[in-house]
Amino acid sequence: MIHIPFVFYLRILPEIVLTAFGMLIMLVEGPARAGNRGKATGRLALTGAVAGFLSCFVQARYPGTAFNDMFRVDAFSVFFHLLITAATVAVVLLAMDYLPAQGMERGEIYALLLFGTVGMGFMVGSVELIMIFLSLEISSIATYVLAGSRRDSAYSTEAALKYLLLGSFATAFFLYGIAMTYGATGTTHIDLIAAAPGVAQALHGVHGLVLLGAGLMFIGLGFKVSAAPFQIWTPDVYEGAPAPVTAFMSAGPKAAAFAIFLRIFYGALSASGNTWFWMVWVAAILSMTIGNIAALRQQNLKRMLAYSSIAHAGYVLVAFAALGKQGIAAVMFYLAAYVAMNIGAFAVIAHFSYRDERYVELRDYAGLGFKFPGASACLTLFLLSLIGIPLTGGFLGKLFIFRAALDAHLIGLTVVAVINSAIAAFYYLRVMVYLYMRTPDREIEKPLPSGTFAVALGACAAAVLWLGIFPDRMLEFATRSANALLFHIGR
Amino acid sequence: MDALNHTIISWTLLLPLLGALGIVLAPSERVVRWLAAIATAATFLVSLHLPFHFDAQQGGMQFIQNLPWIQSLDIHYFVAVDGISLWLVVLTTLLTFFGVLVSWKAIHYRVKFFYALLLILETGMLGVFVGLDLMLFYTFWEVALVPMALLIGIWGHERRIYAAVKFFLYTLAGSVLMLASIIWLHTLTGSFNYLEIQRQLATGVVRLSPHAEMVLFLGFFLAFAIKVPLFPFHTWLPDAHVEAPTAGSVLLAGVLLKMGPYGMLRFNLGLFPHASERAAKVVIILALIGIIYGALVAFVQPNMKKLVAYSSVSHMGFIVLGIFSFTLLGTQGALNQMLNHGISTGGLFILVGMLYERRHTFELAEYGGLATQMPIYAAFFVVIVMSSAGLPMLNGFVGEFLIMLGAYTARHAFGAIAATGVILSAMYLLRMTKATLWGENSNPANATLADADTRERFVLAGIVLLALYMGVQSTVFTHPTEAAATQALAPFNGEENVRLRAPLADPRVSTPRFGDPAGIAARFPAHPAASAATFPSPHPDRTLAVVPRAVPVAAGGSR
Repeated sequence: MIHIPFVFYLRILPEIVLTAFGMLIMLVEGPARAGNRGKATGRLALTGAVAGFLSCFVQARYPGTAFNDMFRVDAFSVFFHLLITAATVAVVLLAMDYLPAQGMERGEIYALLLFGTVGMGFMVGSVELIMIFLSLEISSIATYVLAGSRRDSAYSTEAALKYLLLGSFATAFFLYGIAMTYGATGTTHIDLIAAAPGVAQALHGVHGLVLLGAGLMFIGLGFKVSAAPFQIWTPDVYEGAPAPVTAFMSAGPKAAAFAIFLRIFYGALSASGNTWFWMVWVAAILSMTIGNIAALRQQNLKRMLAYSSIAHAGYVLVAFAALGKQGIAAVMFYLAAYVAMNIGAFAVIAHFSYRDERYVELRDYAGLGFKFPGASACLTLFLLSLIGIPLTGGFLGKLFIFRAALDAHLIGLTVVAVINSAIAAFYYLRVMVYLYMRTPDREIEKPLPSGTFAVALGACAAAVLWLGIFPDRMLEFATRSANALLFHIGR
Repeated sequence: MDALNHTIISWTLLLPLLGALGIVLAPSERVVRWLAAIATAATFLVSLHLPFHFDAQQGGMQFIQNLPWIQSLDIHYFVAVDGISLWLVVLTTLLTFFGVLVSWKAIHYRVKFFYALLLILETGMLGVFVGLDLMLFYTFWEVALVPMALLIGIWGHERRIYAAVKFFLYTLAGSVLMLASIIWLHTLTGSFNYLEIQRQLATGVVRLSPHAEMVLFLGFFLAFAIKVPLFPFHTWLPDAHVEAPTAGSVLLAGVLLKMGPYGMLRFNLGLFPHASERAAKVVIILALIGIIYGALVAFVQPNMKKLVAYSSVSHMGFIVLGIFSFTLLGTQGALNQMLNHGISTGGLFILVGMLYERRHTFELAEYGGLATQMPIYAAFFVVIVMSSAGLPMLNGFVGEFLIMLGAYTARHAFGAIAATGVILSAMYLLRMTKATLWGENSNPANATLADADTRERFVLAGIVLLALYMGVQSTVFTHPTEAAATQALAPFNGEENVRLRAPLADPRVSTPRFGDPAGIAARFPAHPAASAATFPSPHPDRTLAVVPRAVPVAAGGSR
């Protein structure tokens, strides 16, 4: 019998709590009375998500590693734990309104949300490539199923299938990359890879394997964060999945994937930075440009935001290419702002969508600004933040990214990013035009009654403004996390 | 008094926001209108504190308030005014007040939202002129953009959406490049503080290669050139103006366009003098093209509002010309012309808007002979048109004349071409007057038009009196700007400017201060100390210095 210190369990407390609640939901769902089923599981899920969020603070008090050095609690992993669990809380709040309205109140959706979060939690805390791979799979499989949870919609099934097939491909690439890295360095531990002699001379001889491994892992992760040229699945999946699930996918898994991106490329492979830098550079430019230009032509709001999420992955990659502490902090701050504004935007879409997501076209939004001033004002705020107008989190996020990039003398990349954010303004602005300036050509039904939606919306709006006006604490946290990430490799 | 001087700018920024909050909570449209009027009037009165207590002798920043905002980036809430921004602040508060009054009946749907946006817009515009932390400046710059686009898009005319989107995207495209330049400056100097950046650049702490300086210059310049708008970036302007509601047009022409030349003077000339000098020839040529082109297009417009919009392109060209002539006369003229243009073009838009309220058309062909039907309106119309055309004794003359003198000194041809613009402006403005007021009132639709009512007379009288006052007592307005203008020009051929300054401000003649109860007394030579004693000044010790101009206050001298 191996002795496992108690503190190890505290270090993965959020994961334990979330798993326990996820299983509880599945247990409760069977015996609960049919009419009450959704309500009970929803409340359980909310309690679980909030408990998971709060247990991150417990976790944060016990920094260190656990389980044979596979899992690490430091400022970096706590930052992402908080971000991801907060996103889950918001998504559960959305789902509690959305699912009954759509008549798809099923406990397994809540359970899968929590299980997915567990996977993401392990992703951001693991410092071991195999462990990262396993947790990536946990989170991915949960999202594959969630994407298909609108069972009577062909789009949703298509989304699930597409996501599953392409996603499996991507994880295979990722796994292959791990194998190559192991072949080159003889280890799968992040810190040991960083110290391995081959990493610094990635271009020479047998150490080319490191570069190959980096490239393959980049493809796998590029898929997960929907960076071009691995973005093909995004619009279809975002469109087909139920709106709260889309909100979830665009926030949690994306942030978690960026976390392991940072862990692997900055943590393990930073010594060969000058060789993989160009991959990031090209992917950043492609993502921003393809995402924004494709978004210009979308009439469906979910598809539009899907392309916008590709573009935003590009902005994050710009900071990524800056190769420095400032860049890491910028990535993290931006992700925090992005999670808040994107979940908020999808929340409003879910709210207006009505049964079977009937109203997700741009023209359905004509004149809503004065009919439903509260929700529309919030949507406007999120759109302004996505454009990058001052006093919103999105603006400061962009500011940090540009600053990091200019500090690293990436002037060309910054100019491309800046031009892109001007192009992007057009399609976000178009939504506002419909909200406030156009007259409707057909009346849409009144959104179904809602309660928890307003809480989620208010929280997202408050977060966007807080990050935009008083960003000091978040930035300080992000910088501390960046230090923590770099600490172990002695940079 | 000291505490007030250091918070007065914040009060002018805060009052409209408080008004907007009150409007959101207001129970009825009537209350909304009155609240908006009271809030804007109060803001105007509060902003009058600035010229009354402004120390015209010193060129640096006054009424400074500097508080840390975002510490991790060293972004400050740093607001202040100097001679360049002083009158622009007052112009903004006054025109917003007028904007509220002219919208009284014209805006009849979504009234609450309209006035709330108008007041938020006011804060944004004011912030642009007083924000001296580059990030704060940029924040206000963008904050002013959103409500204006909404004003055009919601309450505008037929093609309002196209115009609103065009306006938004044009401005944003310019400003993101400015943002990149601001961040780049930050990485070079480690500061967002305007004065600090200026000091570092001027004293050579941070040396820019000519190439880098030019890139930074262009980053800022493009944003401002679009805003001015300088030819060939002007195409958004006629659309935005024609489609905007009257209050929107007034603020657009009166204030928003002024952000362009303000920015050029403050940032392009202030931070990148060498690049400015290198770019000057091209800029001046573009400005001259704008003057002539705008005037010619205005001349053939069948649409009144478009005519006034193109006249703005022409008039704004004068301002840019004045700034890039790098002469004190030109700069002073440009600063003065910014105010004049705000008053007279704002007035023209108000006049056009009043006709539109009655007849719902801007077509010149629809009008004619209105002078018989609306004599009082016609009288105001003629005076305001004359002020826009630059008739002596009215405000427009002073600025244009100074600019032409300045341009002429810089290069004779510039002055000559600019003068053509003045002639052309008289042509298209008189054509508009003839087509609307004079001739036979033959259109039956015009037979029963009501003359200006009390509210309208109040607004028009305010503008006409101001035009007259600014035309006669122009030194009241040019005097406070002089020290700042001199200082702004310090890096440019300093010797010549000292010579040029002489006719404008003879040190033997003390110029009257704004609000001088005995304006005539100021004609007589008086020791500056005497006048300083009469009027409380925030810095009495500095008022005693007789000619402290050209002393760089943390701004750096010539290099």
